[in-house]
Amino acid sequence: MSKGRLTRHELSWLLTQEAQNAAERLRVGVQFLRTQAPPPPTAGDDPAQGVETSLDALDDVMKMLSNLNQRSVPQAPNLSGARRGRIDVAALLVEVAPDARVSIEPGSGTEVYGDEADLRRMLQVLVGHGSGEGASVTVRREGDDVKVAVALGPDSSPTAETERAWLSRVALRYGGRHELEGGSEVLVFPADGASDRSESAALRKELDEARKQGEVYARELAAVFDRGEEATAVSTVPPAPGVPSEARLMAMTKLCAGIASELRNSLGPAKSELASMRRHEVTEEQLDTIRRRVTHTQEIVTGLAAIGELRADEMETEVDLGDLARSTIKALANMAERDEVKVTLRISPEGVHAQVRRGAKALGVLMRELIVHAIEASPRGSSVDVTVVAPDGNAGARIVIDDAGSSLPASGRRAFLALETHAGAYGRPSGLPIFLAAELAACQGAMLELSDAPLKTSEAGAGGLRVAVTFATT
Amino acid sequence: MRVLIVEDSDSIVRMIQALMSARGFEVRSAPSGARGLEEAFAWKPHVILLDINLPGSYDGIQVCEKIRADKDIKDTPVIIISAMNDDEVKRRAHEAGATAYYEKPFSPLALLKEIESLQRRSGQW
Repeated sequence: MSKGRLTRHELSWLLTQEAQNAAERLRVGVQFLRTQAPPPPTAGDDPAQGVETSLDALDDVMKMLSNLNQRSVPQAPNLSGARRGRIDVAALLVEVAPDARVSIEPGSGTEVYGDEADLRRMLQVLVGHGSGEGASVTVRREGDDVKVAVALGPDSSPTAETERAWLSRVALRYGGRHELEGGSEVLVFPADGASDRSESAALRKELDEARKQGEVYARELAAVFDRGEEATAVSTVPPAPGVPSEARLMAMTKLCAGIASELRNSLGPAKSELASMRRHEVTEEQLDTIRRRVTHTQEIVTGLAAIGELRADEMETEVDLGDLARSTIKALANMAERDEVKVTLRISPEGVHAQVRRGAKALGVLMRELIVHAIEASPRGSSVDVTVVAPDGNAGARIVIDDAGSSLPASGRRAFLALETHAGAYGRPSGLPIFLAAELAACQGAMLELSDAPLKTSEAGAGGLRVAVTFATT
Repeated sequence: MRVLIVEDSDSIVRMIQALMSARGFEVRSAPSGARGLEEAFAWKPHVILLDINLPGSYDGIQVCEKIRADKDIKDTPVIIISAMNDDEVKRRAHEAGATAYYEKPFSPLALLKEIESLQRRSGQW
């Protein structure tokens, strides 16, 4: 055992390690004696000698543990006032090992920052590994390190390896290291001030990185603001990430079927009640108003019910968008006539079939929702233009519907699409049909976009909204 | 979505946190490789943003290797964000199983797109 004065806790830890190692060697040796099998490579060359060495080590450990328990281990007097701070390793070494031959090489200081008690014990253990009394110890400054080297003695104590493990552990805690260099054992500590410098350098580096990162954030934010209006001139509704389209459609059809059923139940009786009210003092004008409202609600119910009947696994077929638009316009002729809105259809290029392979029923409902919204939004006497554009190269087929209603400012489109605005906001009807159409479009691999409708010469200043649905080519 | 940031620079952590939280992502951070691994094993994030120069026993490359070696979290996307821009480090990161490599200073929008793209590809978050 070394001459180092460790604390009771540290000594117990070291001894426990030794005892464990010795016990392990014994276990291997005994196993060999029992089986006569060659021991594992770690057992050494001679099993019998291995057992003997282990027993010696155990004896050694037991003696020390016994001594440790027989006497109390008071703190060494010179440790009671141990301090934490800047410690001169060279001065401490002279104090710890007065008999050692200490050689201090000139440099820029041998002070380190730490706990005096820790450093004292480390030096004691290190010097203990030297060649007995008068061990040769060197202290020198190398750059940002203070190195303490001791020339190793000819004999090594059984606990030396364990002590070296402890030295290495504590040195690492101090930001230093423990090394064996040829015939000497070295402890390296970061010199006092060096750690401050490295910390300061690390902070400077962090600040620099943060500044650069902040600049990138600011640049991108500014770019978003710069192109703000341009970016929102066309509002897109891409499919929501993560949810399979079948699941989205299934949820929506359930929702719509539920709403339709509920509204039908309440609106059916209301119509009968209205008929009976006519016999009393209710004006025709009031009745017409109520009738219009009920009819409008019934149209909503019809649309929802149609969605409720859709199947998530609807088979895909070739659908001619021109034919679909034509039949939808025909089906909504009564509504258009009632609202005195003319609906026109144009196929581009003329005479070409704009075909897509999708669910026919889902596309029918999508087309209906778009045209219903356009008719409702347009004032009496105006027109709604439906354009079907055939696919061309990489550009997929498109349905473009321009209404003649109030324009919807770019800043209001997000809330409109999210159903956060009520009917009447911006002078337009509810965004529910567009919301449903956007969801259906997403389920059918298409993207819905909102933009300003082009001004018509006959209705200059009317504004209007353009709703375009573009189908992916694949 | 759960995002774990393993980064010792407090300022960078806060910037990424602000970016991710604004998108409604749940964010946690760890200042060292060992703490990052503990969080990854316990919290099982959907994405790990990992610095390379980390204090303590493990650098980012080693953390990435340990993530790939664990059966529970081996498929978690790991996005390296580092100020180190030499090809050798990038090669090591790739070999360790990194999903993507971003140099500091990185584009926050590009990082968001990357995460959203991973989100779409996995289709599970």
